[in-house]
Amino acid sequence: MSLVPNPGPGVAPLGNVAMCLSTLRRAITRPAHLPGIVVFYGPSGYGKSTAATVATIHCDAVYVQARSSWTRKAAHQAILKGLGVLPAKTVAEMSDQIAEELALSKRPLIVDEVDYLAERGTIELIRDIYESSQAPVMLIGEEGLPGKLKRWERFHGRVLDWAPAQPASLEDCKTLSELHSTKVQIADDLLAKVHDVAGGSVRRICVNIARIEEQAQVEGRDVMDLAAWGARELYTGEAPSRRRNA
Amino acid sequence: MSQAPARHCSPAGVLTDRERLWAAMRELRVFTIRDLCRAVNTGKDRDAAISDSKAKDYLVGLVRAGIVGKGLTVRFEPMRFELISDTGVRAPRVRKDGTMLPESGRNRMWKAMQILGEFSTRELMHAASIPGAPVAYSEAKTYCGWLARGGYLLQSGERFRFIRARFTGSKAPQILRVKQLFDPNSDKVVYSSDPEGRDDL
Repeated sequence: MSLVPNPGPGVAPLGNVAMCLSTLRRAITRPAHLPGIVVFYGPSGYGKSTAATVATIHCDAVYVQARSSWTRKAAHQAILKGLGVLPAKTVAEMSDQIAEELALSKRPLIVDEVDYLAERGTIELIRDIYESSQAPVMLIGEEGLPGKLKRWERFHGRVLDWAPAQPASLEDCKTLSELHSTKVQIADDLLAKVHDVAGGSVRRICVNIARIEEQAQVEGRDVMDLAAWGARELYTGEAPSRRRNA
Repeated sequence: MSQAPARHCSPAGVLTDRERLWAAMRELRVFTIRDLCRAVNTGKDRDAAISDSKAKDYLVGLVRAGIVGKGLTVRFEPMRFELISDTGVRAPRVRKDGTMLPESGRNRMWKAMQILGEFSTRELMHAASIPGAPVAYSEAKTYCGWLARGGYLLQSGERFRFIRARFTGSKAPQILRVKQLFDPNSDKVVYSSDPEGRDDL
């Protein structure tokens, strides 16, 4: 298996996708004396899972998603499932299996929703796996993750890089509209407004693009701009305000 | 520079011929083609036996890729091979000329959909494509359709949702083709062929 990810041209059109990918690659290509854990964090809706998908596929990583119900045993079993290895019976044996397989295959490990682990002591098992395999590890979580990880001092010192997910830029907004809206062209001025109301959230941008496309098709338009959209509402993610009677 | 033998890990799931060969190579470390086939074919019924030529095909690729080393040619002695770079339980995907193949498109889609959770065909296609090995839209559409029929995905309009409880393992479900001979007079399937279309490279 090729271990160094494909250096091909930037297939990652969105800001956070490029950031996530380059952060993981930094951990993969790090010099041997540097630590190999990287952390990618940010609020929900910023497109972290899209970024994690691209990083996983491009670097042939092993991806697992932590759950609130994870015990040490469940965590090890989930990672082994991702690796395609028949799990042994005890946690200690499984830990050896994971370390061996990661070390031999030189695949990076990506753990999503790490907040669940950082709130309890389970995070130490990731450190064990890292220590015994020296495999690159990427942790993904919510905004408050760095603060939560600070409690685990032995963990904190092994982090090579902290990468905060960035709010969606206008550029991202354009890319998303090209990606999602195949039948209708959305004009720049309307896109700028979509970007404004989204507050950096990729999810809200996608919802609005879908809404605009739907409306445009109803009206039979090929292009939708700000003037044509008029005073219609865009999705802001906020609960609707009280209706005023005229 | 042979490594210490790996004893801990064996692959999960049903193995393809190549995966069986790879598992045997990791076990034996040094072997002739005869050794390899003997190790792989124990306890298997005749039909599932892996032929020497199939083993040879895979070995040629592995030798050219530098994963398996070839011993010296000795007259009247069978060629000895040695596993020099153990890359874990996954059988390396090599072509016969020794170049490596990326993971199959379906495997990449299978992986991508469990991370995305909720996606459209187009999003999945973009997420699962890598430089040099793009996934076609029609391929993504076909595969999602089959997985939805199999109960792995929930479909609503153009979007799909992956059902996490149905993540059965790291290998992607495969769409197989079976040819059947059907007799309309007696309303019976008289003969079914072995399934084709497994991801067996």
